[in-house]
Amino acid sequence: MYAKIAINNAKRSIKDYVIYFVTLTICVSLFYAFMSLSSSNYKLITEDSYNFQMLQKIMEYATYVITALLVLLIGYVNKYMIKRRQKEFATYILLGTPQKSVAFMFFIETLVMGIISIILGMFVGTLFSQVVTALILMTAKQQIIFSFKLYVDTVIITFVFFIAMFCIIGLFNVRALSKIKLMDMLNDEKKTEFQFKRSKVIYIITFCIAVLLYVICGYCSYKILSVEPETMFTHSNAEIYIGLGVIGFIVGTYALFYSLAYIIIAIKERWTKFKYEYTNLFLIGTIVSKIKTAPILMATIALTFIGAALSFTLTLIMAQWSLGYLDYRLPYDLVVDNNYVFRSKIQDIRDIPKIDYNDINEYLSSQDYGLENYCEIEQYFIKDNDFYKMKKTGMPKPVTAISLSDYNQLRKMLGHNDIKLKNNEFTMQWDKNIDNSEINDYINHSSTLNINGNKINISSTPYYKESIGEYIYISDINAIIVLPDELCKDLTLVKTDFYANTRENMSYNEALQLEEEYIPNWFKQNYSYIFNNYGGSRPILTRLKVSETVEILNVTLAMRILGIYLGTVLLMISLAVLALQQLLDSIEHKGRFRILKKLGIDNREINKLILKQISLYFIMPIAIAITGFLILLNIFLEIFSEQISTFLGDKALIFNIGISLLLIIIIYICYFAATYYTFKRNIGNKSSL
Amino acid sequence: MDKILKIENVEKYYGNKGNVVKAIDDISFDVSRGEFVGVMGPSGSGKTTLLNIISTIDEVSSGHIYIDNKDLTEISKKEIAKFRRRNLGFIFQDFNLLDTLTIHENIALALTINRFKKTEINSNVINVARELGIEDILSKYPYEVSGGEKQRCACARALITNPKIVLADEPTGALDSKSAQILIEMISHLNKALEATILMVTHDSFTASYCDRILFIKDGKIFTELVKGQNTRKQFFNQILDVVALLGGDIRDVR
Repeated sequence: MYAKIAINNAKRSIKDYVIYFVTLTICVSLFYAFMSLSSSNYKLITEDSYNFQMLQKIMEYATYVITALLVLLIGYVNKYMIKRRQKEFATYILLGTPQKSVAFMFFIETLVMGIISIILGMFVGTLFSQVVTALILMTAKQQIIFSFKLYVDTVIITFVFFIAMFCIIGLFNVRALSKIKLMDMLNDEKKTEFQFKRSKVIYIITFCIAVLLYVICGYCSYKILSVEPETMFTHSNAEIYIGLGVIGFIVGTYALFYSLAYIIIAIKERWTKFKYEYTNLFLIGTIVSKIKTAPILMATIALTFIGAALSFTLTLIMAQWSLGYLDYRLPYDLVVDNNYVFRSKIQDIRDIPKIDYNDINEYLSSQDYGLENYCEIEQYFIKDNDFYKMKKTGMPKPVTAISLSDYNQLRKMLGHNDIKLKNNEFTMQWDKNIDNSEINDYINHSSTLNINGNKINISSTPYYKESIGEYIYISDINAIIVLPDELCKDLTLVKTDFYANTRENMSYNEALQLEEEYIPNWFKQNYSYIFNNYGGSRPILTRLKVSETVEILNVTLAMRILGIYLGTVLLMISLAVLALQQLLDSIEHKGRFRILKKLGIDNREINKLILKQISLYFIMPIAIAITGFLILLNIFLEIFSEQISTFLGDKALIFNIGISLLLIIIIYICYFAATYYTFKRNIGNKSSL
Repeated sequence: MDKILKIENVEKYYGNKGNVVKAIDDISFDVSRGEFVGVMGPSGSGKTTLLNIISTIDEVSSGHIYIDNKDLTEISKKEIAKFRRRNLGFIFQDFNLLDTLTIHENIALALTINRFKKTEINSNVINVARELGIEDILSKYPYEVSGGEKQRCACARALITNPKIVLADEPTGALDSKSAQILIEMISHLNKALEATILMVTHDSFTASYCDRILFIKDGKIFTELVKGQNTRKQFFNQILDVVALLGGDIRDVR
């Protein structure tokens, strides 16, 4: 019998809480879609050169964490449902149902709703998983193939995960519900929530604190922007400013909402002209009463909204960034890097090995993919003394040198033209990221070099900035000196690196085999004496474009997808709470609008009023969120402006921000429209009075 | 005296073909300016329907209603809300105050809806509040004050726009006898002081005894009419009790 009541109630609840139900269903479907990626039965059809195992792992765990945020929404809605329906529960109890059974009935009711949303969610999730697959395949530049399959293990995981979530919340509810006194249940309707609980002074002080905190936050962002971007993270003050700014904003937002109702009322009292304009009085009253009852919730919604917006934009930007960064960091197909100077215990400068890469060279040529071109690059110390500087931790690493012919070889591999140097000249290669003014500064200070007694000057072209890969730089300033070949003969070797391009792309497995087996083994065999004497965790580092591309693709995809997922979930939770706050009070609203009608407001005006009320209610927390978001985004773009223009380009930046804004706006409008129409329906404003 | 409200052969049917209920069956009467008229009758007699029709919340099936010589049945739906807020004032049994607004704002709302001069609203509200003895509670919220105070606030809201006629639906219905007496005395006082025209539906003979004239309705028809005339309130009360007894009222209506 109780079960029957519970199921009937669930049916009715779905109607009342349709927005909550839809939000839940969408969240389940997103969960299912992402989980299905890590399903054992799931096969992503890609070429050999891509591998998405890492992505699947990242997604699996991140999805659990993000989805767990739903607990907040479910918990909130259930709490609200209990509050709304206490009178109904009291009636059951008065009719003789034990309080425990009523609590249990409510639990069953929410569970039925939950199970329906899980089942529906899984069907929608199958569609979503196709979208996600398409997204992955698109990033990997593959053809998109659709396959509609139900993954049994994912179905089970989804069920278990969500049911567990419902049960945990449900048990808390059962406990809470069986403890409420019958008397309180019956009297719950009489509310005193519109009162201000504290004195006037406290609200004014809180408001002043809020303003002060916002000012501090603004000052911090100003300070952060005035710090040179290069010294950003070495500059310890910057971190303090960032921390202070963020905390200031969060606390300020809470303080603002806490005192907002009082301030609005105070303003309203002074501003008679606005107050007495037609129905404004009614509008202000409704809005203020809502802020008054739930200031903390409103502030939390505002902050969640910022979180969602940041997660949308930043992850998209960062993903694009790291993709752009890859091309710049590793322009060659293969780099073997051997840096014994600071990756081992070598103490004597004479022990530094000279590595001969002939074997690798031959091995690569013998493979299917073949060798297009290659180069062995030797780096030298300008002074022998630099070796000891380099060994010391905490000291700035000195600039090293390479010979002109090696340098030209590298340039040739990347398609740049040769450069020329006179015998008594040198030039420099700088990282693309470094500011020109900084380079000029450096060069002005050290325009001459003393190489074993020969004094040489900087060339008329003092530096080059075309990207030749990031791994060549040892020194802290991300630069290297290019010397005429003659002068290098007498210098001490730092290390020998191997750069190569293959004719065809190698597969991921071949790359993996090369990186983890062939090259380490070859090194151990041929240079066993170094290996045995000086050890070092990774004696030789191999970087392959194929494997790095796969890794970066994995990471960027994970970032992109998870960013969108996290953003969507946060956004939906905050919007769902906003919407429900309006809709669940429709009983009270209905009464209020009925009174207005009796006072002589026609339906058209009432519809306008509803629109105004919901808009204001939706805009308020979002306005604060948008302000915060714009400030943060601006700071982010300002600090990383150089990197962004290098790796991302303005077009990609605008595109990515545009996409995220579009997504946010679409979700926002959906919730807004749904709230507006449901509200109108609840008020029953179709027929005339 | 000129007639502010004129009701001519009004009928109101509910239900569909084959099962028609006549809620109001050919009623005609009129109310003069400044008059305090009560409508009494047992449950289901059509009192509330009559009030709903006059307050333009419901439509007549046939007949005409004139308020200040304007035919309500001819007013278009669009105009009705406007007409209502300009010409009618309401007092309800359950107060119908907005819980999100203070008493002051609740009263002011009636003026703002009529787009009154903003600078005069405050003084207007305070004047009416003083008249009704609620100036001390103006800054409170409805849930902070007693039922009697709430109903006085509702009266203030109904009267502040100087409506042509105030329609009161069981204004004392939700009040205890003490509050009810204070309220009805106040309404009666306002009727005389402000010359407000009031049409009040009530169940309660004691409340009704403050009226100038009482219409008794039974089964949708006017059963009889009592005029206070030169009688004292007490005499009038006894006359009312007699009619109520005749109408089939029970002991509850005798106070």
